[in-house]
Amino acid sequence: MTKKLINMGKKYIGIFVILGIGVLLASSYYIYLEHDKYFPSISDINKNPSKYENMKAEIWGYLEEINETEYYVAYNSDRIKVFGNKRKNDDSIRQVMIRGTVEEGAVIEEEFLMFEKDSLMFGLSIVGLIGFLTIFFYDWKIKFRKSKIPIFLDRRKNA
Amino acid sequence: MPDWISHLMLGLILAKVFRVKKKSLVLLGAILPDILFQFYHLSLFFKIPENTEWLLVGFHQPFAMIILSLVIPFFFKHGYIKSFFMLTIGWIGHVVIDIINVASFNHGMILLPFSWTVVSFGSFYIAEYFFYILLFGNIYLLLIIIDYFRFKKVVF
Repeated sequence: MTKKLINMGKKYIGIFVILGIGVLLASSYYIYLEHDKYFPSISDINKNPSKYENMKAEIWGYLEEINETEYYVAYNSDRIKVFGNKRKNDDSIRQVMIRGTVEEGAVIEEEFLMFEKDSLMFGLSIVGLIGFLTIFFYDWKIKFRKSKIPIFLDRRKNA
Repeated sequence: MPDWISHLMLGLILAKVFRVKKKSLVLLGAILPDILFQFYHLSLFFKIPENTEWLLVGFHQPFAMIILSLVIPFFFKHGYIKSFFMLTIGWIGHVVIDIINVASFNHGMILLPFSWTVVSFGSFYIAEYFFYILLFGNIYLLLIIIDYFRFKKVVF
């Protein structure tokens, strides 16, 4: 039964791939359209503050105008007021994430996370990626052919 | 998690534990959830509309991973079911690490697009990735030593 299904999949690979990608794109678009009902962003809240009253929100952005009990979080041209503890802002901060409740177009801070500029993490990720590509192409070689699957990865003999 | 090295290290451990010969497929699974999602990090360098992230969130979740794990093996000249399971082992490891961390909401919504429930144990912050590197590095080393005593040779 499983073998039959796999063979059918190989026979109709084009349809199978298009169907898979179609489902993925449709689900992504659905998530994009519905996200504000669950997790509104700064621009969503600014567009219609009353709609998101008392809702939980997770906002990302950069710190601006820090005062004793409030500060602003900006993302592109949008920004929002956040009521919370006084925060320190310096060049080492990359982005901040605030979780809280929306009240009158502002956010009441409940959780504050700060992400520092971490070039080492990105450097290590690039090292990881190079390592992965090395292992991957040690195991597989790309072959081009005229068939329903134009590109496929063949095992290397030594691997 | 934004760093790929800890995900890849866990992939190596899982490949060793499950005695997988084609480690690269497990490793591909281990970074599969992040491949498209990491494009969002371009927002650090370019101005990208804020809600664009939500177009990519779906590609990080198990639902998308199941579909990709069903499609990708067709492109490999290797046993379909084997390839499917290798990829699946990899991405399950990825999702488990993400759940353990204090993840952003969009990393913890593992039931999307069916449910928006956030699943997160909130044990480690993203910046504490060195913990994983040390932990996984040591476990991997231990597995190599165990294999050495079993097979009398170093097997990576």
